[in-house]
Amino acid sequence: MTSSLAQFLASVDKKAYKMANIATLNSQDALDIVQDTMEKMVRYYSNKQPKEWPALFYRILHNNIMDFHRKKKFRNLFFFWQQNDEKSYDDHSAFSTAEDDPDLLVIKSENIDHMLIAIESLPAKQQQCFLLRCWQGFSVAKTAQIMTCSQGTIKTHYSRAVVKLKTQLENLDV
Amino acid sequence: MSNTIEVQAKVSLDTSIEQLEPGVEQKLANIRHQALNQASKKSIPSLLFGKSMALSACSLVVVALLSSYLFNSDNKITPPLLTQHELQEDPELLAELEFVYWLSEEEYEEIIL
Repeated sequence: MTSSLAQFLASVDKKAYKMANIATLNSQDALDIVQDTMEKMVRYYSNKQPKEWPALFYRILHNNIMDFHRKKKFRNLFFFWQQNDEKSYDDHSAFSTAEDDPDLLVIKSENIDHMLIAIESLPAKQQQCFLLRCWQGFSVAKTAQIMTCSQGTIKTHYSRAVVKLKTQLENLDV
Repeated sequence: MSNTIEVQAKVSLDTSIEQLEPGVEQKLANIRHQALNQASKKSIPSLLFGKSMALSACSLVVVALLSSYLFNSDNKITPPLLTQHELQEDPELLAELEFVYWLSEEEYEEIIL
């Protein structure tokens, strides 16, 4: 059972990290979220059937990401003077570090995928819904189960996410 | 158009996980290893949390019992019980009380006569 769980975790760790990274915009926070998710998965759900693991894993991940947003909102509310210090968009730090070197700025900006930027700018729930449905390939029912909401809400989140992505990509292309 | 966006998003995301920042893959492997190894042993904070919760529950029960005993008027030590208890311990006081009783009897007899 442990070896199959190890295989499962190895198969989902990069995608989980990327999902957390897109949600938090910070590599260290993303790693913390993945670590917590894996620990909870092993501690509480390793005895479940392997076919149930993906939904359980992404449900824990989703809850951890939502917890991160809640804590961030709380922190920003009570420690508003620290907001500017905490912004660490390390994936796209080229824009802040390459001010002195225009060539570096051009090279880095070409490498940045507009689609990823558009996904990162989606509201948290729409972003999670889009990633679970489109990237992880979960059905509407499974996504609703993971995000603990109704199937109608999932359809709404998904369609709004697609519309926003379309608008943002059109704006970026212009 | 929406299908195009979905395909494009999937491709972008798949490409992005192949180009993770250096060191992330190693960190993920370490995290996986740690998660799988912690299955058998409970973490120290969780153990401490359990013990502290049990201790707090016990102290709450003790406080509740003590307060109900002390503040309930039925359970207060009444004077007769106190007297009885003191009498058992002090024979001189008992003798004195017997004398007072005898004296009162004598006075009563004198009044009747």
